[in-house]
Amino acid sequence: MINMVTYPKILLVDDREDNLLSIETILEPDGYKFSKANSGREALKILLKEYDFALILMDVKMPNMNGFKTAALIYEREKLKHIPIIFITANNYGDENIFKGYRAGAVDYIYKPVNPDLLRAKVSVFVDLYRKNHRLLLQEKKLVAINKILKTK
Amino acid sequence: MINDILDLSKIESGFISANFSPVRFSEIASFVETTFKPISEARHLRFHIETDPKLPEGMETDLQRLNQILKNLLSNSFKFTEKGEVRLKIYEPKNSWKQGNSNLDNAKAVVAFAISDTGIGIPQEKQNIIFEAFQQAEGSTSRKYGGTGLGLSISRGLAELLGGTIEMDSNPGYGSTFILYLPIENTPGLPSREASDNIKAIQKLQLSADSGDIDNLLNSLRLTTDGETKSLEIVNEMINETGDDRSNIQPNDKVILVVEDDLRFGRIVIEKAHKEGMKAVVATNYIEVFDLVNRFAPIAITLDVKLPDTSGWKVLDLLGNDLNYRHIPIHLISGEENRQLALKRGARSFLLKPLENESLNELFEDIITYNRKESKAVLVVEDNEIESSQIAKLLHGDNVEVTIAPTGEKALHFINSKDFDCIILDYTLPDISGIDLVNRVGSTKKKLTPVIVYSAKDFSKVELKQLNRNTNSVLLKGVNSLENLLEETVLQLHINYKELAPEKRKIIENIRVKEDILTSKNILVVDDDVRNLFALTTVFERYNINVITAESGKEAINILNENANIDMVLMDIMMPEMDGYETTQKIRREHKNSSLPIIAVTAKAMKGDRQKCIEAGASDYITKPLKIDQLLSLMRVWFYK
Repeated sequence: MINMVTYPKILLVDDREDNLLSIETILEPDGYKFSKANSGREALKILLKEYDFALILMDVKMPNMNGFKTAALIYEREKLKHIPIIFITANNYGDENIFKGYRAGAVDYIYKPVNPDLLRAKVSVFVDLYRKNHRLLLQEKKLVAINKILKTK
Repeated sequence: MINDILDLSKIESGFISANFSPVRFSEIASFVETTFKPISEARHLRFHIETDPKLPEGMETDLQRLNQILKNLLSNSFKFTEKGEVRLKIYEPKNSWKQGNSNLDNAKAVVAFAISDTGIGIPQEKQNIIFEAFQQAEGSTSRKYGGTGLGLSISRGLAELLGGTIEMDSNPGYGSTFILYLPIENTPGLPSREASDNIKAIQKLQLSADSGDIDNLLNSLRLTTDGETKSLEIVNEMINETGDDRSNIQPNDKVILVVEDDLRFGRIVIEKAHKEGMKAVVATNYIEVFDLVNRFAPIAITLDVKLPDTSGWKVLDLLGNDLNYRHIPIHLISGEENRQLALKRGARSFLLKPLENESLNELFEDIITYNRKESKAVLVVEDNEIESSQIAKLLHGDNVEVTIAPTGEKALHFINSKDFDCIILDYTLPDISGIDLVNRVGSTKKKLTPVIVYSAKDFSKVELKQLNRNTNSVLLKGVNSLENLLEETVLQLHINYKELAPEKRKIIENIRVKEDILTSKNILVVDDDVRNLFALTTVFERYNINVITAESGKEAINILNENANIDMVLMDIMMPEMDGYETTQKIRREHKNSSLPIIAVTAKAMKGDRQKCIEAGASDYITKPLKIDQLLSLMRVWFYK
């Protein structure tokens, strides 16, 4: 548990190996752990076994199953609903499509070419949120436990 | 298919005539869409329907025959296409049909239905014979794709009946296009000589078989096609052999579903239904049961216990377990006496085979009167005023009237003067002993009126046995018992739970979630497509099922080796490398656990596949595209066992 909060896990989804590598390189110094997927399917596969991601960074334009479709499937699942998704997309994507993404559950966008400082800043905001949520959950658990002890006394 | 053969020989002999009437193109397109959309999804193919806006709104033709042709052509396209798309284009051609067809040449306007696919295509030299009966593009192709070519010769015969023709264009490796040309206005034509040749070949086959017996004919066809049962069955499913009403059912028709493999008996019921102004459809296996229930929303079901590939009891449980279907009254028919069990498991009535005329009349009378009755009458026999008013309040609704009888005498008086649809009895009344009351109510009420005993009494085994014989169910008063009474009454009254008030629906849903046998079960889902795994996991988790996934047969076996807690396996059959049959066989061989339920998921309901699943060791099977309610209900049945 502690480990997860100090080294939050981020799922990177992009069909291009070089993009995965560059994002990983940008974010690595901040002490995250990464899982990487080359396609929407690959992402789903990882999410079948692991649910404890602080954030998903996903390319929109991927062959077969694009980012929006993947996100829609992910958000169908109760266990994954709370994981924020940041879409990575070309700058000229158009408001209508951006809106589509928000509807699919995106929390934010990052435009290509990726600005490293911006990416780091955005990711850190969501990771902070995740940490805070986690702390809240832990505290709530503690409270419940304390209450129980008090009741039995 | 048999129907088609008969049809075709009838065309030639003039027995069959087309019924021309105005038909909208939108109607045709929507028929095709609803029929083939699921197939395209199941086969992961794109499917487009395009109607040229320049066309008039409609045409004059025989819709049923036209649909039959389109179904034949599209089924072929889907069968022969592994990836890519199938497309139907409806447009006005510019005199592009090849042969001199006087009907088309003289027609004021012609419409073309072009069906193109990205399938394997048909080699040039085979294109001429493709329309000949029982020919196929290539001997070796048949094993993979099935298909006898029969559909094409029939389609062309039917096209000619409608005054048009079918032409084709194909590029091996790139796909085929079949174009059906029809006059927009009706000029009925005669089948050409060429079509007649096709017909003769078919007639020969027909003559070689026992004239009356459809099963025999089917068997002889199977022999001649060298084990190609699959293809025949595809066609079989497409075109129904039972001669039932499925192709001419109107939205307001009252339909009875007959689950029966004895087609002679099926026909008796169909005839009776017709006499009563109803329609009937026949299902011979349980996948078909669901299919027909979904399509025709029958008002009642007759269910033969003895079916070739499944037990009628299972069908009874499956339908009874499913909130979407359980309101349909089921009349169980069996050669062995088993009335008590049938009623306990939710059947509306039980009929012993052979069926006397009188019982058939009674059956239909019940079906008709029950269906006609808009509002259901419930009699509550209860001496405690607070309790009876609670029950009345709970049950009372738009379509339920409640009568309260505080004494046994009063109850008998009411039953004498009025037909109730359900009677709820308290066992301890001031004026009559419980057992007396049950017996007297039993002899006074109408035969099929269900009786629910609702009592606080602690029944002895002997008493319970006696009650089981004379009543439909026994509920004990206690915590939450009112909710259970509501559930039981709704069930006995055959009320569709969707028609209940929201709060009552909630009560029933809660009872079911609380009692759901699937909760906390460990289910191993095996499928090579991760999207399917993900989707099933998503759904199962909503029912609090623990899902373990495997992307291959090998992975599945490893998981089973390491994890002894798996309660059930859901096995996709079509997987690369080790398919579902092989995996199932291996599981059965390597694991001594023969009671582990394995449910096979097959692509299409085909008798051959079913047989293969069971032979490989699967406990049961279900077909894609999966309907989640059906799947859950099948899974529950396996856990109840």
